[in-house]
Amino acid sequence: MPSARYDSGIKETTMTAAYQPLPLVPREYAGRWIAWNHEQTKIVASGRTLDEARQAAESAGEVDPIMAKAPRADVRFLGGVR
Amino acid sequence: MRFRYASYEIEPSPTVPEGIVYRPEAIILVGGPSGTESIQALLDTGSDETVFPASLAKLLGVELNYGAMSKASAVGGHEVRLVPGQVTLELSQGDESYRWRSTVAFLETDEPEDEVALLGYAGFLEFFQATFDSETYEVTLLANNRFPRE
Repeated sequence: MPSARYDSGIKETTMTAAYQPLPLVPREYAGRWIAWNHEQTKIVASGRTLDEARQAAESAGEVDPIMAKAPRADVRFLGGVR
Repeated sequence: MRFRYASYEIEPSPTVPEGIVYRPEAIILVGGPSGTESIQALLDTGSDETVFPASLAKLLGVELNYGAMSKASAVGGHEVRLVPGQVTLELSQGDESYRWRSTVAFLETDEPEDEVALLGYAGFLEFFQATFDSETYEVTLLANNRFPRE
């Protein structure tokens, strides 16, 4: 559990390993499709297109990758469509 | 079921000086006639529709209904093309699993860099109670009574 302290109504916490996001996707992957290993502990491949990244993952020996699209580094996403 | 937020390194800016964005994303298994793919997609309460890139439809052999193609506006004003197609969606974690069929939108973009995968209201969020906790970097999804149980 994180330790917590309350000062002036602001809760300050110290994060522990139990409360962590997924591993940081480095900027070199910005705008690219990436393939995680199934446990999502490491990026095993990437590609400009989904198909390219999928094939690269297979070549790297990951038969069941999780595919994700990294956001572009210079473009903010402000919400979905419609 | 719980999903950890994704974190991405981006160009630092006045509003994101640390240059890291955190996004509530869930892993969804998308199925079509040619197979399935595990896609990590953004849980987007601002999106009216569930959207996957058209390149995924091609990979899974999903038949797209171009007769029902619509145009939509993304924030920023530029227009995108959405083509509906039917898929099987599955969320699975440990012993817990949700599976349903849904007509979703496939997004056609000029550049692959602009592709997105969004779990929006129609076809996804309408079926779940979603709790976002940015302190623990976790999102919790619980099927609601609208979930299409067989």
